[in-house]
Amino acid sequence: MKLTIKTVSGNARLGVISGMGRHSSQILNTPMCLLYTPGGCAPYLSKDMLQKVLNLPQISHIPVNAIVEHQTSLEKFGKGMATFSSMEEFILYSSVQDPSQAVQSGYNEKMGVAVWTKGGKVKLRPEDYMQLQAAIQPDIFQALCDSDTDGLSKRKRVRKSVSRTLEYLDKCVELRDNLKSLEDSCMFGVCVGGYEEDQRVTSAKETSLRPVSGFILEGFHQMGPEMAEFPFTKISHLVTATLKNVPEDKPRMLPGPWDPLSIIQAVKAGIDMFDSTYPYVMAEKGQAITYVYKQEPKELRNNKPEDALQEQETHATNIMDLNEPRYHDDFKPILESCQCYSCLNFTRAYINHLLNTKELLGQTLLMMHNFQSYFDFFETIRESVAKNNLQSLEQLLMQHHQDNTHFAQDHRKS
Amino acid sequence: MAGSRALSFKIIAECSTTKARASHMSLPHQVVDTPVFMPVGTQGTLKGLVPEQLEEIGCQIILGNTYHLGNRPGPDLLEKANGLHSFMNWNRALLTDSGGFQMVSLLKLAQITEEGVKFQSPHDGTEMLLTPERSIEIQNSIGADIIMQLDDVVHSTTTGPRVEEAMYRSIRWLDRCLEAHKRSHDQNLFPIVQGGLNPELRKICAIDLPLTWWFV
Repeated sequence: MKLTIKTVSGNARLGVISGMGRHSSQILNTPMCLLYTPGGCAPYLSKDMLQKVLNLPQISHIPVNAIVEHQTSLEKFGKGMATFSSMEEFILYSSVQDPSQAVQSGYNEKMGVAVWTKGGKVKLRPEDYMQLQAAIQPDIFQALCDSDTDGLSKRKRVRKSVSRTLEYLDKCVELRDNLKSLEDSCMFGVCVGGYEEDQRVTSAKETSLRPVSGFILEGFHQMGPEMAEFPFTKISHLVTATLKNVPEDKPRMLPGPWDPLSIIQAVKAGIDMFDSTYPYVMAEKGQAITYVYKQEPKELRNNKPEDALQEQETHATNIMDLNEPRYHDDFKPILESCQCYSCLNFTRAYINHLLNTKELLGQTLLMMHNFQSYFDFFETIRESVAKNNLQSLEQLLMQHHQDNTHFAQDHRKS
Repeated sequence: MAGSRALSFKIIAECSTTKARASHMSLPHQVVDTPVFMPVGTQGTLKGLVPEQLEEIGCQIILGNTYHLGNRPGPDLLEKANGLHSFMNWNRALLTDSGGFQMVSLLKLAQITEEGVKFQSPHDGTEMLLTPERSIEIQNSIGADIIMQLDDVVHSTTTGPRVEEAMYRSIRWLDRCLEAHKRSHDQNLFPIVQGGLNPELRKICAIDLPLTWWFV
């Protein structure tokens, strides 16, 4: 795998990733996000519906916890998870945990890491983990790591997470040499260290010495739906300290359900890759992403003055909760200016009804809108880095946080 | 004749040994090939599928449940939305049932009187009444191509005078449905042949029904 930096804007980078093993003809433009596909499938979307989403990321992200219980079948199948789930056209990335679920804390041990499957907790030692990855046959995968730390973790626990993560990494490096099906796969190392800045530096420096193709920053939060309201500014100093101590020419990933404003701030700090769990956790709550970030307002479909006012009102809130009774008889699409499948074909009132009656289609339509919003947003980010105006994009989004006061205060601290 | 402009029926083939036939049934939104299986879109959606996917597999007609739709989103909202077709973005044919069957099967205390079906609202326990008139009113709001009369439903294995009572009451309720129906130009009202498993009663009912097409 090769990362070429084309433009730098402060610490933000516009890059091109190439040379990914089996997908050597593909190039990826960063900053980018992955396509969240737990268990090998985009949530609520069959393949034909997935293909109606534009700007699809080229990397499909599968957390291993959904695959652990199927390891034997997958080994017998022998052709890897991408083929198994009919996603061969995607580059496959496999992670330890699922960022859309809050990690249950306190279950990692010296010998291995706990992942949570439908049947309960499974402990993975490095050898188990690598056998599992060998069955999955990913193009990129995360090294086994202990990132079970957050803002409340004691220093002793943080230090343990750093040393364990390095031990697991070394073991994974060693084991990989003997696993033929992983010979074309790239492994990303994991930088941890909780909120102890010196530990962050140690973890980054040490991980950089190992033969890894990229860096994943974790250990800031238990992740899951609550992270959607966690502002990047709380950890920006830790991210900066980490990134100062990893090489420039390898990609940096920051997993988790980050809101668009946090994404911009993370890109400004030097992050290249994100996942797309945010659209999913919002859809699960019945919420649509309604951030407005286009500098010039797009043409509204029905050019009526009251619609323009309504549009402004919506944009001021950046998130629309379709469960709210006020949408019961609102026959506008989620966003007049959105070109996603849901906004072109369905109304707020219909989605409100589907959520109210707990019908599957409600989540399907929200998933499509949220994915589209997020993927379009990453296009805009790349354009902004290229034009060197990330700052004004950030300001535009900050204006629209005025209704979420706690959020706005936290973000302004940066 | 009621309903004759909203539906035309053309038999295109008949079996030489059985009574089976293939036909084209022209409804306001779609020509439907029969015999046909109708997917059930209970609450105004086929589980997890969008209308476009249904069209892609050649689906011509789907079913909606008046009982459920009458609760959520409710007939007032469906009126505002210009009917269920527009609300769910399905442009082919729709059929709704009367709401009576679900009532009797889903609700613990449904009681049938000459007036209609008395029941307790599942949401707040208040006593409610579904009359033939109210059923048609809700179905007019939903706007399906084919709508059903409210009938007095008995379990098919019931025997005795209850079966005959239900059969004659269904005919009287059909008259009330026809009276209440406000959209015979674009919605076809299907009567329902009752009579349990008694062929004699079934014959009486079928002969007495004044319309050209019915539900069994």
